[in-house]
Amino acid sequence: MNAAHTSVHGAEHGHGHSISNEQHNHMLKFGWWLYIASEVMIFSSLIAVFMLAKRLYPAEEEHLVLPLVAFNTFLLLTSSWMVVRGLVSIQRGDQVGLQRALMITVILGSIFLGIQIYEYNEFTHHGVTLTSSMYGSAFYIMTGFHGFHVFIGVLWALWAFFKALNGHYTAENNIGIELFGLYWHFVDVVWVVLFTLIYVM
Amino acid sequence: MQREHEPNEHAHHGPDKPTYNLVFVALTVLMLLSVGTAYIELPDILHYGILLTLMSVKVGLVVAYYMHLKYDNPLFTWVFILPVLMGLAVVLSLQGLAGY
Repeated sequence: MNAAHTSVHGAEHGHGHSISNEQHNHMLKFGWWLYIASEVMIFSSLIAVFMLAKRLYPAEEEHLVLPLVAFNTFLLLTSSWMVVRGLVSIQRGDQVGLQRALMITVILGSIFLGIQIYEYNEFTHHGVTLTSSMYGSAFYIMTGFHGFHVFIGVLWALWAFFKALNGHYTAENNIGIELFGLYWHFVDVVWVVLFTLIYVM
Repeated sequence: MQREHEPNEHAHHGPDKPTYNLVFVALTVLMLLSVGTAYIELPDILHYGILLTLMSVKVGLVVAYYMHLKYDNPLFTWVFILPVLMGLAVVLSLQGLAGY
């Protein structure tokens, strides 16, 4: 942390230090990265169990539909791209650019979830359910946990969209969008890993 | 990487739209390459090696550029990398234990 940016207010009143916006944002991001670190460990445990189930029940994988999920992966990658473009937009003071990016993110995230539900339906019809085997349990818990993160991300993007409509974010104040971006990109990173391990490997 | 400074860039530190666009194209191409390997007959070891390499590059691009680790405080990079290494150890350990 850069001490040069620290300002001291009210020292004569005995109130101690206040911090600059840059330091405040740095601490928020640090806290958010700690949260992401904990999520990495949770997903690692789920992946560890899934990889074991994948070895023990290879026949279950025959029912996976790669092209559909590849398309879903493309949607998530596109949504991440929208979020970073939205961040740059608001950093330049472009409110409409941010609003558009957030709305597209909401739409793409929702389609992703819709396709995931469709995939679950197909998989269930082939007899792979949450309780049918260790593979089914690991598959649904891991992808479901990820899908839950996407759902929360969609709600967060929608909330941010309405705040953006009210002009809450500005070129100087956009840490909320950056933190949302960290969350959303992490969800994207997790899917990149899950997509490779579940559907392609 | 040398960044091009643009108006209002004082308000942030990170890549700009052209870099983000390039990363998006790279991610899409890498994703298509990953999918392509599923349709080609390859020895398992080569198949897994290619897929894990492509996956690592994709993850690296997202965290470095989209999540700004390339531009942010190096502390954040360590906060991310250490649990990734621990997670990798968990995954490999369980696979090893399952081999009895």
